Amino acid sequence: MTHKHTEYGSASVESIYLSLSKELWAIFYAHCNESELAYDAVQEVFARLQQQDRTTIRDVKSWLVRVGRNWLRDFARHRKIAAKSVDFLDGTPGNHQTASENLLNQEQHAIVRQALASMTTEDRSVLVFRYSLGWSSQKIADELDTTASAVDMRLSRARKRLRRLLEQAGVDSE
Amino acid sequence: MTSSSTSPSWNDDQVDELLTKFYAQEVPAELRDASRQLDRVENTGLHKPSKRVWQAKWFVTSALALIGLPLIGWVWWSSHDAANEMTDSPAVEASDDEPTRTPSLADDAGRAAPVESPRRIQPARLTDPHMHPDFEMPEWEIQVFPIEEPEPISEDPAPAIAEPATRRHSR
Repeated sequence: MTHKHTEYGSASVESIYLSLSKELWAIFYAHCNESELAYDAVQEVFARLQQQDRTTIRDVKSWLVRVGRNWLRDFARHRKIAAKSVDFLDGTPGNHQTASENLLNQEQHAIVRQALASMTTEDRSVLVFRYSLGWSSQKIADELDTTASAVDMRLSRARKRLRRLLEQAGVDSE
Repeated sequence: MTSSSTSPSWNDDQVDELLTKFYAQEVPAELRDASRQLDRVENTGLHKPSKRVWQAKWFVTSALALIGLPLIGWVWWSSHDAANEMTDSPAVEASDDEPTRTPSLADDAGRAAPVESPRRIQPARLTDPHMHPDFEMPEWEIQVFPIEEPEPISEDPAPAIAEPATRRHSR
């Protein structure tokens, strides 16, 4: 991690975007539980990085995460969406998906969203790092400043909650 | 997709698959492209530093080690040598500023026995040595002065009225 941060000090914005954009999206997604909004936050932080004097930034990744979280917080405050309801989250998935990737139907998608909405930001972070970025428990623990066993516990708890919601909704596993 | 009241239970693998598919759908297409582009860059090795860069780094590191290690050794040796010279040199001679004393009878009598050198009283340091490291108080010696006896006060009180001055008669 530290090695990467020192690389980002002199790297171009484009190369930082290639390296960090998906990870930042995952962090912001865990924060706001909205794919499109998280992507807006990613674009916003890189636009600000372009305008920022790079010599004043000590750790580029931390700076980007901090700016993105502040932007999401301001967005939620101004649009009064801090307390998101399940109905608000239960929208259609992003328009960017292709037909081959549309493997979940609306019902399953809505239930997963509902399960995620009932979780804490930390639990959502663990899930998005594992299932979106494919990180190991140790890497997630390093990122969230916790232990690998705590990450595994959060994962297990999140799976159990999701399974209960699926079974309550009567969604078939087949 | 079928929903039924008696749905089979979900095992961990199925939940894992569901979540993987869910997040695969959630990631915006632009970021998926960025990830693919990054993978392509890393696979082609463009992201890694070239062999020439590694050679230059290795050369600079070796040169620094070659110059730095003897320098550190020389500094350590010279400081160690200086410290040894300091410890080998004799202590500050205390008899340089000793006051010369004329031999006396007492000295002659005590010549057989070892005579202690006169003690010099070290003054208490009145100032903070950390505040004034260069400040040295002068060494003091006790000097005994004879105590003068007070003059006895005459019992006769002074005349209250001065005698009139003798008048000088002028012609």
